[in-house]
Amino acid sequence: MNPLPALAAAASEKATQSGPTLAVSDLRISAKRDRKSVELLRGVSFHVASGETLALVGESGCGKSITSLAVMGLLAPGLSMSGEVALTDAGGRIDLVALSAAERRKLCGRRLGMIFQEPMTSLNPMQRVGDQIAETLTTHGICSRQEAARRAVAMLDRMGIADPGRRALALPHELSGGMRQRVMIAMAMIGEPDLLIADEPTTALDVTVQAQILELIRDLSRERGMATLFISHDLAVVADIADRVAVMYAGEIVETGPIDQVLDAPLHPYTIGLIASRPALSTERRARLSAIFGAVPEPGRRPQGCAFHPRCSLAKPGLCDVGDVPLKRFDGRDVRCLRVGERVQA
Amino acid sequence: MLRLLASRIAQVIPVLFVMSLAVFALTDLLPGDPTITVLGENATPQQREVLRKEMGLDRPAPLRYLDWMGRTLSGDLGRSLRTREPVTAMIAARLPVTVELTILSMLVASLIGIPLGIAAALKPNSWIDFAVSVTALAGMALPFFWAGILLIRLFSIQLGWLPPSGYVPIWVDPVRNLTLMVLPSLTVGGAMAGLIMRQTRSAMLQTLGQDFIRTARAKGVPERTVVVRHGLRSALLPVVTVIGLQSGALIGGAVVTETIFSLPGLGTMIVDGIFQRDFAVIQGALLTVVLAVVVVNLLTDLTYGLLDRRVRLA
Ligand SMILES: Nc1ncnc2c1ncn2[C@@H]1O[C@H](COP(=O)(O)OP(=O)(O)OP(=O)(O)O)[C@@H](O)[C@H]1O
Ligand SMILES: [Mg+2]
Repeated sequence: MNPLPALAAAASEKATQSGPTLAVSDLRISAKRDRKSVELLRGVSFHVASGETLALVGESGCGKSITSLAVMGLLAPGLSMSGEVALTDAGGRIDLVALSAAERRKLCGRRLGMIFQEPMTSLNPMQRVGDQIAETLTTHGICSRQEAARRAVAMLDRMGIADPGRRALALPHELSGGMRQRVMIAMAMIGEPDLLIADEPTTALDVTVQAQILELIRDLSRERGMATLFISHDLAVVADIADRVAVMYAGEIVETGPIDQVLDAPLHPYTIGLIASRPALSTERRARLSAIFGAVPEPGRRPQGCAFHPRCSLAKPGLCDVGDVPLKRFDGRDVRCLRVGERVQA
Repeated sequence: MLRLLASRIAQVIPVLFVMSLAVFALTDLLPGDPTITVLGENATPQQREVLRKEMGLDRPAPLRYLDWMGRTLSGDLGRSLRTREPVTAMIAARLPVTVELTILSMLVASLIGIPLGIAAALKPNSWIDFAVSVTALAGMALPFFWAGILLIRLFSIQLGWLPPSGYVPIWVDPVRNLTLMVLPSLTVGGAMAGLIMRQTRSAMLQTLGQDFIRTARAKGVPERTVVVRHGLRSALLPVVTVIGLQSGALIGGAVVTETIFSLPGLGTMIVDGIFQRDFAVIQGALLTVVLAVVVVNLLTDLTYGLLDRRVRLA
């Protein structure tokens, strides 16, 4: 966990004044299914300042990837979105939604970098990995081809890949999963973006490699003062890397706050359940809740009231199954639960 | 790569054997009497009998096949019964015509099919996509003969832009040669373009939906580069395969189309040979066509290997 929270907070405060901040507000995404519009994301808001890492956590299908793709402007054509996505720095505010495709392209790779969830399919199977990394630089005319190739090799070296000059000439299928993931990271990092989005960068890897990759991302984002949006379904991973966390459930943020607070004293029953299902993180106090029963509602089959109430052992009929639940400030965090006040006092 | 080459060649040999049997049987079963070709209608039965013995036609078919095969393998395809010209020399004179028509047709088909296929894939279900699909279907449904005749009517007879038929070797007058080749290669290539178009469209659609295309966009790569460098490169594999698999049909189409435009290629050679019951000529020309199809298929396999580094490395 973060050893010096005060220092980190001060650092992020300083960064907020100088570096750019990503602000997403009321992001809504819907898909057409059987001629009906299905809401996949129901008004998600968050911000990430430079030098800061925000973790987006939740079970599979809760909308983490589409959130990140919406920020990058890479949503699948079948999905429609509304809401605001803006990058603000000393120079002013860039509205990412209003940008033309050409203007957005200038930001992608240079100011916005993304590590995709699937390193196997996200790399071009027919292009040498060195060329794929260098392409970020050559596309934006940052440097010459030779220089870009040289920097790509240096980046692979930085990623801890042995014999990077030779590896740069390899095709993706010739590399192991861990190496492919490093290539993805190198590709996202080489343009020195202001905002890095990492979508489950370690999910496919075994534990030791996972730890190395996390360390790499953390070091690089500290070193460069990047704003990092780190997506994971694993709270243990997030505990090591994030400053703040936003827990998502069924297309909504249900709890968000500083990582230590959320992990030590989760407020939303879903967060409590998530932590309990990670034995290393759970303590006796929460053991009685244990793992969450039931399954995430499919988009379009969202229950009335609190989306989590059918799976919640604390749900109260007549309260939790009617009306929308707002995100409310409580104990330095935002929580989407109607019973949070009474529970904490009790 | 060498292993690939060797194994493909090994597969080709039995195919060639079966095809040679078919060619021989076909000509042998063809109704008609070759002695008429040589001696004319007015020869006496005795004269014919002598000639049959001389030509070995009285011997059983299997023996004649072995004879023929032996001579063919040593490079002797016999002589035309009618003109006494060596068949190999006839083929040498006519092969370049067919080869040129085939290559030009393939070019026409690719130049029409690939860009239109890409255009359709970039805007699926748009009016472009619809127009391209309908054109493709029409191109595939029209028989060569009809398309060729329509083209002649429009461009030669009504507009007077292009000559309707004739041939000049490319090394004699390249411009005249290409002018004469425009309509024939449009006829064959146009028919093939539909298939290439459809294949390009579906391969391109499939490729553009892949994750690595999204990665390229995330790097800020311009859309045109995304489509060409990242998309087309992968999508071309199935397209090349289709072009290769269709090369048989393409050569067949060239052979048929030659007769419409009076081009002196292998096609007209076969047709003339059939009308004149000139067996050696038919067999020689057919064998050449078969060999050409097999060789082109082999080349397709090898090109595939070159394009797909994964195949080459495996
Ligand atoms: N192109 C699309 N069309 C329709 N629905 C989609 C599309 N992409 C995603 N979805 C749906 O949106 C929901 C959220 O998907 P998303 O990929 O964001 O989940 P996730 O939180 O990233 O999950 P995971 O942990 O499995 O990656 C899912 O229910 C998914 O089925
Ligand atoms: Mg995801």
